[in-house]
Amino acid sequence: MTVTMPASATQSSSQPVAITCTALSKFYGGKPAVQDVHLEVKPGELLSLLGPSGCGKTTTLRCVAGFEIPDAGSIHIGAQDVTKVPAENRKVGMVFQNYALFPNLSVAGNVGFGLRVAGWNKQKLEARVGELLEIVGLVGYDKRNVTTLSGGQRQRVALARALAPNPRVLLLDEPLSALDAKIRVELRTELRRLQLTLGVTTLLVTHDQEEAMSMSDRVVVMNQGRIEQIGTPRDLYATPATPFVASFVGEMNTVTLEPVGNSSFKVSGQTVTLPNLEVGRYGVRPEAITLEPNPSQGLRGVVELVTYLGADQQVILRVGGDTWIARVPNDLVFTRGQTVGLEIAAGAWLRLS
Amino acid sequence: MNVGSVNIGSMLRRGILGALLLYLLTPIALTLVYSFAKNWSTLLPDGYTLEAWGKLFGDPIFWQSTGRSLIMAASAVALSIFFLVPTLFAITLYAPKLASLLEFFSLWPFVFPGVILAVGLIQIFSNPPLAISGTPWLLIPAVTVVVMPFAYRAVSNAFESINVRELAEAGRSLGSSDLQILAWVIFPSVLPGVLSGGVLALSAAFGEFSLAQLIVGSAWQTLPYYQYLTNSQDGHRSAAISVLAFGIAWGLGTLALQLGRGSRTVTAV
Ligand SMILES: Nc1ncnc2c1ncn2[C@@H]1O[C@H](COP(=O)(O)OP(=O)(O)O)[C@@H](O)[C@H]1O
Ligand SMILES: [Mg+2]
Repeated sequence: MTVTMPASATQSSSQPVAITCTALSKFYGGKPAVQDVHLEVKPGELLSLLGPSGCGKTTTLRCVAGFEIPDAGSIHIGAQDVTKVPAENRKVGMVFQNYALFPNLSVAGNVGFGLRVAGWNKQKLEARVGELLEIVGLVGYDKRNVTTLSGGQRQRVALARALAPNPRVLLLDEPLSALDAKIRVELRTELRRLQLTLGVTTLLVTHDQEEAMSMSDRVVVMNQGRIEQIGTPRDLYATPATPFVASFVGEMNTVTLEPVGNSSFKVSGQTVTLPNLEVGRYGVRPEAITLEPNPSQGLRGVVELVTYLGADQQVILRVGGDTWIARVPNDLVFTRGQTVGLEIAAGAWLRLS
Repeated sequence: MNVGSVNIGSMLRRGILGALLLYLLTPIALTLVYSFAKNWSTLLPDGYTLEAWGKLFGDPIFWQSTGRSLIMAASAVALSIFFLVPTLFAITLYAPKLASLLEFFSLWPFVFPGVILAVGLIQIFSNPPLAISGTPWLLIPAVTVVVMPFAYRAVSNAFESINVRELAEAGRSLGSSDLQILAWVIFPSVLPGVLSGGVLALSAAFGEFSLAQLIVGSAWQTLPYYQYLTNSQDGHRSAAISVLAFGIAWGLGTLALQLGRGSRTVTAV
């Protein structure tokens, strides 16, 4: 399904504004859920909060929405300090993981709810609801009971409902997590295209790194209530700032280089020469490794498992006491127990803090 | 033997079920027969007649009492729902920890007999400024309290079928006040479930006797009180009322099941 835009919808009624969180902290029973979070969602940008379950993403989003009052720090939407403004006065659009549609209302009733609250007259309200149903691809569904819709359709209704009153910013809490894999990927693209067209500032919460990487202008990686790194998807993948980001965003082999002397280091129990590197923790992406069937020097490993992945293959290797993962082209066939060399270009060793 | 034990098991089950049905249905069946009986001193009645039923339906007081019982029961249940829905809404949103306390209080009418409540109420409301003892204005609130445990169950079950908190948050983010959400979303969403569960409360209110006898008695006669008076004059007519009451309860139960089915399809995800 493709996004169709009525002419009027492409011009949002106001200029996009930023969301700024400054030194945000929230505690539950003395335990920090969010700690000293500084972030800015730039006007018109889609920023994702990415991290494992329980790392404080939802709490951060709920502070922005006004459902939680932070214990410290402040939140601005545009120039307005909204830290203590009640949720109903913040003019933010919110989409929940489980849709939170009003079960007693029709599709049109749901989409028009915010307009009804705002006292729009019937004619204007109906026109705006029609416009939104067109945007989310649900023309003709006005009178349907929301409980008869599929998950994907429900989330479209929820999105239309959130966008109808022209919110200043859009907040999405795991909006695609309850959907089937196929619908999820479809809706991901659609959501992003819609966001770009409307130009609405959007804060998206997700635990799915693929989702965050594919949809966002920038990604905030969170861990245990704190921000690990903020950057474009490209930055995070190419130059992860911490071991956590390195392993959470994409796959990463992480190792420690121990000193031996003269550009020689001990890696996974083997001594190798690596010019231009220092002692410390490094990461190597699986696809940055080339496997050499007839190794002469460098790291050696024993093939433990080969997984055919269609376009390429994943090879799991035992190197000393460590397990390494390599992702290599399909043209070479590796067998279990075979000894191979691991060739890694100097630039592929990513320094982790 | 496996097969043998299964047979014995199913026979035993059928036997127990049969005995239970017999135990439950015999009094009703006999009451029904008695309501048609002419004179019943030997094993079987001497003959059958519609006299008791005719007298019952011909008595304007009967119709008046039935109407009053219905009004009283419906008002009491409506009142309890009217109080409970906003209360549970507020507790869910603002003080979820108090939910168990509320549930505990809702059970009090089970613990303290209606007589205690009635006597207390009569003492307070027999004198000015609020001398409403002996009127339905005191009976209906009193019955409302007594049916609270049933109504509480109904409302709280209906609340569990929707995510009140999340719906309220969705509403707030759309600019609505909690009162608007209560009126436009929560109340209409829980109503089918509440009504289905509330039929039990309706049934309990309809049959309420001790409060009716003590608070209003003959001054505002309800059906159970009418039956109580009839019992001493004409056992056959009293039996007819019993059968009728059973029929009404049966009908209400069926209605409850149907409403419940309806509400499930409405709230199903
Ligand atoms: N209402 C709450 N009461 C107590 N603890 C909470 C509450 N909400 C969240 N937490 C805790 O705060 C931490 C962060 O939660 P959350 O923001 O929901 O994480 P995420 O959305 O990243 O999975 C978790 O440890 C969670 O258990
Ligand atoms: Mg979450």
